[in-house]
Amino acid sequence: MIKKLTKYIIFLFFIFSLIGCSGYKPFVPPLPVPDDRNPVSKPAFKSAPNDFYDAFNQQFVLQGEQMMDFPRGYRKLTGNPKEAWNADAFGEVPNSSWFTNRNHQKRFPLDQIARGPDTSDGPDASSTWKVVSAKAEGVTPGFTIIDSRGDKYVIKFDPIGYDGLNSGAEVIGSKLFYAAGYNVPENYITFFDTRILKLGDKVKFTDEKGSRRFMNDTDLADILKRIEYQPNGLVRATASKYIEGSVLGPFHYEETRQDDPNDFIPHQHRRELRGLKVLAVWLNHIDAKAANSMDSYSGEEPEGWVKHYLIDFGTILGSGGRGPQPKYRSYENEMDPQALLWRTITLGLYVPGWDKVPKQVDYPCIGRFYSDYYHPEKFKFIFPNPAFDNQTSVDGYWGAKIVMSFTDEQIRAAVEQARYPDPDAAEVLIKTLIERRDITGSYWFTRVAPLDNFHLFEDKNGSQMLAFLDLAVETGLEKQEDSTYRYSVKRNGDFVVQPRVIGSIRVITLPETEAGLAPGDQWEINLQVKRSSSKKYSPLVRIYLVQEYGHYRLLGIQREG
Amino acid sequence: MSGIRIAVMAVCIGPGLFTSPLSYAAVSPDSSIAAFQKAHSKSLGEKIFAFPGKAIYFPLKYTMRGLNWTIGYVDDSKIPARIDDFLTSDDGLRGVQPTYSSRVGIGFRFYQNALFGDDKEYNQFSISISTWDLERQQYCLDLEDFQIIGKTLTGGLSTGYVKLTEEPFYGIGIDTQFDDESTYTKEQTFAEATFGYHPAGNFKLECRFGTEFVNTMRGLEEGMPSTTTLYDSQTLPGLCDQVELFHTMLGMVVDTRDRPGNPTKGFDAEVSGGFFTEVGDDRFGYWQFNFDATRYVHLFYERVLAVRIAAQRNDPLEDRGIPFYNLAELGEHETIRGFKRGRYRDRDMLLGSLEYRWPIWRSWDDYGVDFLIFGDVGQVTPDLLEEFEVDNFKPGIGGGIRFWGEEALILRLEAGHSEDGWRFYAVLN
Repeated sequence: MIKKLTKYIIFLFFIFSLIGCSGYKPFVPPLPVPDDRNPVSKPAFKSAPNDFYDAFNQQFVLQGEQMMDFPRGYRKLTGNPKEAWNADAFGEVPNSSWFTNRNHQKRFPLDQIARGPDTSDGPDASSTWKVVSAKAEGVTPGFTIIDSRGDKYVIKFDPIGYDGLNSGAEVIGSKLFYAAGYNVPENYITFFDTRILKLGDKVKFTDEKGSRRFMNDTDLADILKRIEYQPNGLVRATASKYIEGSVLGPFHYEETRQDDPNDFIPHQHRRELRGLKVLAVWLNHIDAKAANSMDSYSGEEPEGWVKHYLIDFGTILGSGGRGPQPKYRSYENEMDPQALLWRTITLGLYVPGWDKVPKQVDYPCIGRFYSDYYHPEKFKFIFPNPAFDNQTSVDGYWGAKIVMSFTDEQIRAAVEQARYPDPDAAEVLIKTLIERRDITGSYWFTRVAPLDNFHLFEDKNGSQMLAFLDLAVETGLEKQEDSTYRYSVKRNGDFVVQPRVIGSIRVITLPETEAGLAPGDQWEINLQVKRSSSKKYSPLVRIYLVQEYGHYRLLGIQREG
Repeated sequence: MSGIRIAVMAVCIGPGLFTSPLSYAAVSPDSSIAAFQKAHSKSLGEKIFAFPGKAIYFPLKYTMRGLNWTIGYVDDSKIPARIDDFLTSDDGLRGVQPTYSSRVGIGFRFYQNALFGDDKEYNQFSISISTWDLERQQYCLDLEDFQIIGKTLTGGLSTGYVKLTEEPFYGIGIDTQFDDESTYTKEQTFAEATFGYHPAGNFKLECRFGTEFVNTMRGLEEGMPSTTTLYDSQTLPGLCDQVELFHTMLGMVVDTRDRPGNPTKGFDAEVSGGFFTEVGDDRFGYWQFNFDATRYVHLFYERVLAVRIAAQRNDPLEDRGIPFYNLAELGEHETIRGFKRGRYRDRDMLLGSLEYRWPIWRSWDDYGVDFLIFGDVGQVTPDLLEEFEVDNFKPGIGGGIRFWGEEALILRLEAGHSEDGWRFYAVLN
């Protein structure tokens, strides 16, 4: 019986492989993705899943489901994973309720990086703040206030002894994720005198035991005893402005929101969510999960639409929320069965990488954030994330392009907004971010050929040329003189130009076109790059062209990885 | 034939695997409201081929979902927080803890730290009650580390009543057999006062004196002969007898462990000596000397080797005897973990133990889980100085898991193996 079954499985595998490898298939550009910012009725509010439920679900239930998903396993085995469904013919994603193409399409000036999503200068600390809700549970307390302008903010504090740790991470995160293209709340560093706090009427309060009740002045005084004061008596905090519109609860990193008609692509197949992994890894956003996201109904009903936000960056970079990130974070999931098993069967003789991370934290305000121990390919989040699990090399490349779009000066501009108490710490953080950015870029630009920005032009002789950029060279990861390019040309699947090395020139002369030819024939340029440090050429980039009345037109590209 | 059928099926359905299920047809005729057709994660072909895996996973998935839902519900309902709130005072100084040990059963411990003063390490008061089947019972009241002169001189008082109905007895000496097990009931009422002198942070001198009233009777374990039917007070001193003993002990304690719940380095040693004498009679009287030291060696990256050496010597005063239940003994988790408690008894005892612990899981530095493997070896002898023989050492090996908190060990589960077979232990709090 088992023998027979094995035979059938091998047979099926063979048949599917044949189907996958069958003859010439012309490139068909994907359908344009419709705008998802159309008027919809306001969906109902859905609260965040319980933390333990979400953790167990992501770590065990969904991982088990993935393991038993045979078609997915087959795709993985044959190196044919599902690519993102919302990318255009050139691998980019359109602007949407999720994402806006920003820095990697058109570089932000430094003042725009510094401003990020901010529309003001933060809460008005010169007059009274009315406390409208609060929480005392957890290590760092916080509350919600309305300032004299009527703006609502969540006020969050740093853990005692770590002045600037959470607040710095929160602000830097909002600047960089915003510039990358994501929707984020406005986060401000604020210094205020606690005497401006006035308790509102019937303020709901979650006490240290987790019970909900009305807050009194003693509770407020107790919270204020658990925070750190500056030498001048002021308190440093993050003021996170309530996001515009009415909140609808978090989005999930899988499937769609059923009551939002605009949400038609399963989230795990959205490139901006799969590619987010690269940014999250760069910035050590180990807690990228549903509970740290928020949907909001933007606009007046029924003209509004659902906008998707990333929130809560207090546990990125070196901050663990209640102190520096524990050493094991980013190396293992919180309950990592693989790591547990490995440590058990080796009787502890196997020493995981995180054990080698220094115990000592050099800068309390930046916590545990290193480039020395940074390996993007090995990075693990607190719990698995379904969109990240579906990331392909092409998604990773897309994310890496965004990461690499940040210049040293832009990173500096973002870090300066954190107003760290220790200038040396800020310098170390900037250096670490730059180094991690380059490690990230080096990793992804090796897995996928970083040849991009393809465009056609005619030289003075009237020859049609295809020019491109090498992002590894553009971003300084590689040198132009150390890079050799090679291309071949196919017409309707048949070679018309055999693989040809063009040295370090980033222009290809295309075969002469036949004037008056109607659209129909498809041309495929297969392009690769080799660095002097490597013996092998990179994976292919396929550029598809169509010939129309004596001219080429770019149809799209496909990347191997 | 079947192969052809599958091939045809594969060719027909296969392309479904490679076809994107994506389409964006707007299905609403009302152009002011968006209504795209939602894309499915899987095409029809994929759904068909995913079905066997889904079917296999279905029971496990929904079992896990059920567990998952329960965990979520318990957390949302704040039941643990509420219980903790109910059992612990707001300042954390007073509370109730559950307890379990295989010897006396389950119970609880009420504690009040800093009964006066504000240092929770001092002036501790606790009452604990444990029972199993209402037969085995233990009631204790403890006053610990009461400040007499600041932190330099402290005092304590411990008093209680213990009734253990299934105490095992295998005979005396190293040659006793596992099959010779019998049981007896031990009823003990005790009171002990302690004075501690703390000249330096890790060092303490202790003086203890107290009295115990012990009554031994027929054992109640079903299917096991009673010790009282096999022996009498002549052959086994102290059996079927009421004995009241007074003792005085002097001791010295050194504790340099880095954290009590999960030490990675340091030293924990206790040396004590004193005498026991019968009150109102002169049948029993003896000197007792104890030595128990554990050295925690940090090997690498929190892998720890705990090396323990312990010894006890009981020396009769002139021609007086030692009650059999107060002889040195080997067995169970405090000595050789592969043997039952009291498996070997004699006047003197020597024990060595090696335990290797390695971390499995950490939650910050507050909680963690360690695995451990150990090897214990020990012997009892009538005279450690005169009749010690290397060949008499009894070995035991095993492993276990420890759940520790910042301040104390929370739960310990261990399995030990010896020539008598396997033994399992669970100790809570």
